[in-house]
Amino acid sequence: MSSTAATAPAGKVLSPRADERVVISSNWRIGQVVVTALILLLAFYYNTKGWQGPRDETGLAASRTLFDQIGFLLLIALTWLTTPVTGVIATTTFQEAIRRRWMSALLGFALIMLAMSTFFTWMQPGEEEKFLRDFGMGFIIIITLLMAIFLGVALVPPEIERRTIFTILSKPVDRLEFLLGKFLGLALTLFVNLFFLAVMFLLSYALFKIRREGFSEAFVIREAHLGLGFDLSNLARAMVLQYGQLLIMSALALTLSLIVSNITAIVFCFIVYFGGQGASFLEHLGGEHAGDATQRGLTGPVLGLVRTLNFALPRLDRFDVRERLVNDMPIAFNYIWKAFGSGLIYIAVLLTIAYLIFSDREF
Amino acid sequence: MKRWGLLGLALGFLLLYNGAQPDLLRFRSMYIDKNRNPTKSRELRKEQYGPSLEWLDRVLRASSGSIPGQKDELSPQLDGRILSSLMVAGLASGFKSQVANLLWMKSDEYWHKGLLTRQNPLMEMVVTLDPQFIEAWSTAGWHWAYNIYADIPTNDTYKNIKPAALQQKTIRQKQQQAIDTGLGYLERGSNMNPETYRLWFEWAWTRAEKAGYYDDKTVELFKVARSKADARSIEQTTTVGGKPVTKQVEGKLDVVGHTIAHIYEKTPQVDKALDMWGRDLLKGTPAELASLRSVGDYWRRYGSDYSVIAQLYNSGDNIIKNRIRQLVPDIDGLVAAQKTREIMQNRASTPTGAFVTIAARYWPVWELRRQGKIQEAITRLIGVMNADPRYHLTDLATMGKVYELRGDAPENIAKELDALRAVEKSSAQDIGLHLLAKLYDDMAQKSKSERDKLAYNRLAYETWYRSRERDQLDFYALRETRVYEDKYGFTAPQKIIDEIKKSRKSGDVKAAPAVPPNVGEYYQTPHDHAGEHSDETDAA
Repeated sequence: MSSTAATAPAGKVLSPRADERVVISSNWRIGQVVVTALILLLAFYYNTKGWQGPRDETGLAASRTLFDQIGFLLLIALTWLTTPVTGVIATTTFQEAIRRRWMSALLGFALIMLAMSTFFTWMQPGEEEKFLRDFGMGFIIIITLLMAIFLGVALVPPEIERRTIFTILSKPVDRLEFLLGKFLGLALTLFVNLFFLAVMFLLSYALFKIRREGFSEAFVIREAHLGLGFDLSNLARAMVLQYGQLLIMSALALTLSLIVSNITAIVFCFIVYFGGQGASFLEHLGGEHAGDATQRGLTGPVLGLVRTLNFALPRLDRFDVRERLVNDMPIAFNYIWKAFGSGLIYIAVLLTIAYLIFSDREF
Repeated sequence: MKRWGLLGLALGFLLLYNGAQPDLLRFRSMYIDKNRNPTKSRELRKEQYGPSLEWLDRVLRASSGSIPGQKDELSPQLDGRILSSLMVAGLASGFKSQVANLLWMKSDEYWHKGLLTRQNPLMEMVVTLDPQFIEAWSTAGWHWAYNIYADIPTNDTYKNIKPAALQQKTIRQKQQQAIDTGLGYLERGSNMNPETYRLWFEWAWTRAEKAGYYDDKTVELFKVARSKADARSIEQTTTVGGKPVTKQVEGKLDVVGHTIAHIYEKTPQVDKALDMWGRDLLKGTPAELASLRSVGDYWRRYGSDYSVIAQLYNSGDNIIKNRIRQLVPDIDGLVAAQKTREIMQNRASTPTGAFVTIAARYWPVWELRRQGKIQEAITRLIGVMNADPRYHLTDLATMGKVYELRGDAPENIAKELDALRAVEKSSAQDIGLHLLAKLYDDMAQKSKSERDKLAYNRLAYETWYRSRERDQLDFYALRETRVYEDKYGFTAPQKIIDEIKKSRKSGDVKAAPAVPPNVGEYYQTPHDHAGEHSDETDAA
């Protein structure tokens, strides 16, 4: 037992002193350097080529801004904040999460539904592939969202209720390391689940298309037929964006679980989800539909409320690119990074608030 | 301090987050500011990552009643009340397409129950929520132009209008409104989905085949449809392992191109029709097309079976060849022309056949028209439609001798020749009546006296009416008759209608006039002509 814990006030576990923390091995440091180098490589690619749109588009929206670089900086900061202790907590969190029966059931149900999704294409005759993309993406969004929210609210409070948090924090584990470890463990869990769902979905889609057109014909690229390869890569990019949304929702669930009860946190998460999905509507209502001396529209307190909500809520619809998917338009790397980068900033907001609450919390 | 520091950091991140949004928003919505070039709007749409919020604008405007025409039952109705709370939740979370699918299934349910008008607000909401649902646009356009159109005369609201003339006028207006609403859907759908051919094609098709607008705009729309990348993609069903498998195949069949050619035929613009079939679809050189046109000459002489002459000549011995040469002095020309036709037939069968028949039946008439000899053109065309040997099938006697040379029995030869005449009489009416009406219209425009003008307009009207009676689906003729009725007050020519109905009983509809009319009989007021003798009675 450390001397720190022996002198702590009742119910309060202090952070370990610097000399009590786990020494970070050189291997870990090398790993951090490698990851940082990869991030810098990504940044280099983005700033030289990746920021432009696909070749056949005019690229009018393409631009590099300071905010794009912040996402890289945050990733690097996360890399250097991740200690071996964080890694252990993340691994443990992941192992606990995948053992939960309800999650396995949910995953199993989702896999079966995605495998059977081709049987529902009759709902949109003449546009079966578009329907399949829309349905598959929508279903994955719902299932993974449920996982993110329900797992996120169940990360920290059970530890507190079971008093296992005392055991953890009495070791030389910083509260920030604990929080980051929990978050990263959840992120890993969601990644694995999303990966399996994505594989099942892409496989079903590919089989459907190959059955309709024949194997060689499905991959042929010509005018008005972009080929199965394009479809699959586009869908995979949409999944990457979906992962960004999941990270935000899991950070939100984690943060809310530290403030309110589990049920309340779940409800708030769904409210924020719907509000975040409606970000475009809020922007539109607060913009084009804002009233003034010459036209009717939102004014006064209502307009103020709309704009406040717009300021505070995460813009989750940025991660939804189903319109492009169903219209065979490519999802470019520049858009993926911009959405992801801004998502990382919002996650930083949430985790900062979570740390603010958790760091001084008495158990 | 630590607490305030963390709060400040969180707020700072939040400000940075909001600062990053305008850049992303440009990707999402591609708002165009005043300085942007409007012609770039389509390119900008390609960059758009977010959904169009036009549907939200429409729903808000509809709920405030500011969309014009919403209160009229024959206009598209956008009614937010059809959305359940679950659907609204689905919309809020970005599942617009799924909500649209649910509404679509509901609409289908109403269709099968025969509740046509209940489908209207559902269809409007479906296309508003999912503008890329092409099937919905297509079905909505069809539903209004065909189903609602057909339902109007049975609607009690209109059936109870008195007097009968007002009832008919009201029903016509409402039916026209239904067609215009259907066309409106197809127009909106085309503009929402400009890169796919289907809605452009259906818009043009409905304009022509339902609304009866055989005009430049219709042709233009077909040309737009033809220019799209997927215009040549066709569905092909094959059997694999005993089960039918449907695939999208890039076909050689240029359906839209053929349709444009048919539009030119029916308008009729014979020169453009020949150009479309020959130069565009057949890819014929001037020499090849001149040779094909000469096939038309031989057809005009010997009928559609003229190729028998070439076959017999090619396969016969010297005696046969000499005999044929005596009967057909320019047999070499016929053989060469037939050879060209066979080559072109291998290239594209339908355009070749269409080119030859148009050249055979209508090209001389069109040439006379072009030279300003309208009256001669009229006489000749009526002759073609009646297989009058003075103008068409001018040398059937030679054809009979060729059959004899082939070894056909005499009683069969007579039947074969009758069959040739019957085919020409029947087939020539399709385009012939439209062309005849156009010629009468030309005469009316050329005429200096009001009496002649009225007479020729009356003849044009009756010719359109013949076409309309011959083919109930000839909406072009239907529209033209209504134009004349509204402009000149003409009434339905009952004698002509009765004649055509009577001819139908024999199995072969005869709608063409037997002889060129005595124009003097038409020197009367519009209503007087209803009780006049028919042309055949006069000829007798």
